[in-house]
Amino acid sequence: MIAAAAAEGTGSVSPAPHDPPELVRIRDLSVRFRTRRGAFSRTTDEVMAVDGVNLTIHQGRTLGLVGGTGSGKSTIAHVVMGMVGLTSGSVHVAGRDISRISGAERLAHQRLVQVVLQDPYSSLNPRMTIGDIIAEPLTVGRLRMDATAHRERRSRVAELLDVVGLPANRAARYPHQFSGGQRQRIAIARALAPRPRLIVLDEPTSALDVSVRAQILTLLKNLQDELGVTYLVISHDLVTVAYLASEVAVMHLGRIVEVGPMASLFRTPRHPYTLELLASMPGASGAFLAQPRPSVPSAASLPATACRYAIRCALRTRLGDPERCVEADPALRPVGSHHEAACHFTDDAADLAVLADVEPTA
Amino acid sequence: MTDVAATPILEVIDLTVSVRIPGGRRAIVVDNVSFSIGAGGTLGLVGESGSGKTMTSLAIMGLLPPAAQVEAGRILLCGENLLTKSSRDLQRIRGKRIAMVLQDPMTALDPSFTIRSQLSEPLHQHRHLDGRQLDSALVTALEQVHLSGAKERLRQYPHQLSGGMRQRVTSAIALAGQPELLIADEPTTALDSTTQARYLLLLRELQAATGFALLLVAHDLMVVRHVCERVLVMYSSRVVEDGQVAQVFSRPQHPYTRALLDAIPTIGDTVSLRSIEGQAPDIGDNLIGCRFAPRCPYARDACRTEEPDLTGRGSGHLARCWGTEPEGWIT
Repeated sequence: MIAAAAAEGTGSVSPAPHDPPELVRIRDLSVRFRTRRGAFSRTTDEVMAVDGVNLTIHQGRTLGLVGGTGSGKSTIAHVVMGMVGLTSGSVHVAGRDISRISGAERLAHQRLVQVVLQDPYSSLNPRMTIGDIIAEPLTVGRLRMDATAHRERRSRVAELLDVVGLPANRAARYPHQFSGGQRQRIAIARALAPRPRLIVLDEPTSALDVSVRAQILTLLKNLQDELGVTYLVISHDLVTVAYLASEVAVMHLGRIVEVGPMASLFRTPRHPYTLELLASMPGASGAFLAQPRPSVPSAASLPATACRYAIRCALRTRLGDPERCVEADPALRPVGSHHEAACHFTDDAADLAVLADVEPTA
Repeated sequence: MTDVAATPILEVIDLTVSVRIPGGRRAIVVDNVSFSIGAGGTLGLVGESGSGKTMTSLAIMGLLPPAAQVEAGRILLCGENLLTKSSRDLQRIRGKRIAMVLQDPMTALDPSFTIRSQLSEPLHQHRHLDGRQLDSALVTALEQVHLSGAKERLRQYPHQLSGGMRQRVTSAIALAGQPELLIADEPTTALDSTTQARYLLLLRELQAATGFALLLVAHDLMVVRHVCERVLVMYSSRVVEDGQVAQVFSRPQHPYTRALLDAIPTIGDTVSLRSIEGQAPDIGDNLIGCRFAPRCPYARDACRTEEPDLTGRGSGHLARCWGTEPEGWIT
């Protein structure tokens, strides 16, 4: 379960007793980026990419991070992988504080956390055979390979190809000889090679055809059942996340606006942004999206205290622009078992769920 | 809009396209494809990569890559065969009478020109607007696609807009020449899911308001569902199913269409999804029998020896499958 409590000790969500141990623990994570105003400008703007995020991923489970472009979901993944430094807060992966690791520990961390990226056409080096691609994480950091190491390497590559459903005798071929779905299988094999504890899946199916998407999702799910690996899935596509994740966190402009067990969040969504995402799913009626939305052109026209979703919130418009949305930015609060949402009007959001084609009650 | 006008806007008859493949051979990538779209009609062309859907739309635009050529068939725009036109005539037709919206709005717009200059071009070129008339047409064009603050948007460059806004701009540019036919090739694949849903709503609204005929090319059946009346499913260069969207979704008559629908996860207590095993045949494969048979759970010996024709299933619904024919075994 994800405990998205504001901080340790406040305990609005306590882990259930049967939960496996924590693998990733994110507390009050904030990441700021500086951007220049223009190419030659000296003045810089600060962008709060991630703002006070708390998340926990338990071993062998899957956390889905959902949100639009710029919501900060990929930044969180980059911090967990050790590619981006954090501004404040803490991130522990398998007990290690990743803001304090260096040298050999960093290498160990990189083996522990692997990634599968969106586009299998650009994530595989076209000049390497797939055998070399898959074996690369095994050989990184080793100065010399003797005959035994070579033999071990070959058998591991064959084993990994078999695990992801590709014929083991293809190791000498190059990426262009494979289809998109097969390339994504190769990327998964490479991620599995150093026996990682956590695999970050960054939009793993967005570049794939619908029929192939189903194959890759099924493969990922089976691998988790067999190997017990933990996933952090990032996607703007709720379908992918719904299939893989046991817990889902919905992000909007750097913050988590709703978090909870997959079934609870999908059946009883309590934040208007989650409703918007659900209403955008294939097969939804479109009644929610057709509702009037605020005509505010930019965030600048609202006071700094306002809820960050207010500028596009259909619920706020429906409720007649209540003052509270502008006066205070709502914090996450419990709305169900292990389920939290950051909205002043979570009950009204629940009523609105009908329009998003979501069953109103569990 | 169910009645078909006397002369369809677009009629594709027995279109066959081949490409050169290594070894000097030519492989058929579009095989005997026929369809028509009446005035105000909407047709979805669905298939996975390599099924021939994009080659079909490029052939209509006269923009096939050099390695590809039309082997047979006719493409009629309001009764005139586009395949016999000179490239000069085609250039006049493209943008004016047939417009296109592509997958990636980031690359469809020129980064070094303002929205104003990119949108003025078709308005000037095709509708000969100038001065004040042009100014008001620019604002109208952006308002039509629901871009707020049109005056400010016109001064901006593409990088200052979000992906959804850019796709709205490319749509405004496409519609500027008041085309009779709009071809949208995977227009939402590069967009976020909420942006995608809103863009599809917009497309439907624009189509209803201005009445252009729409050919929507997509790999996802669900994209087609809310926008189109009719859908054509392609598999391995052939049309395997053709029918009204409602018919195809409620009673799919080809196992491939059925499998595509099953590959969409449904969310209940648990999420279920079924995948299609195997892959589509490579182009140039000389497969005997039905091209889907190697992956088809219902395939019998007949399917592996002879390829079925596209035959009727009642009320204009067509399918290419032995198993769902009247004496077939798939129920």
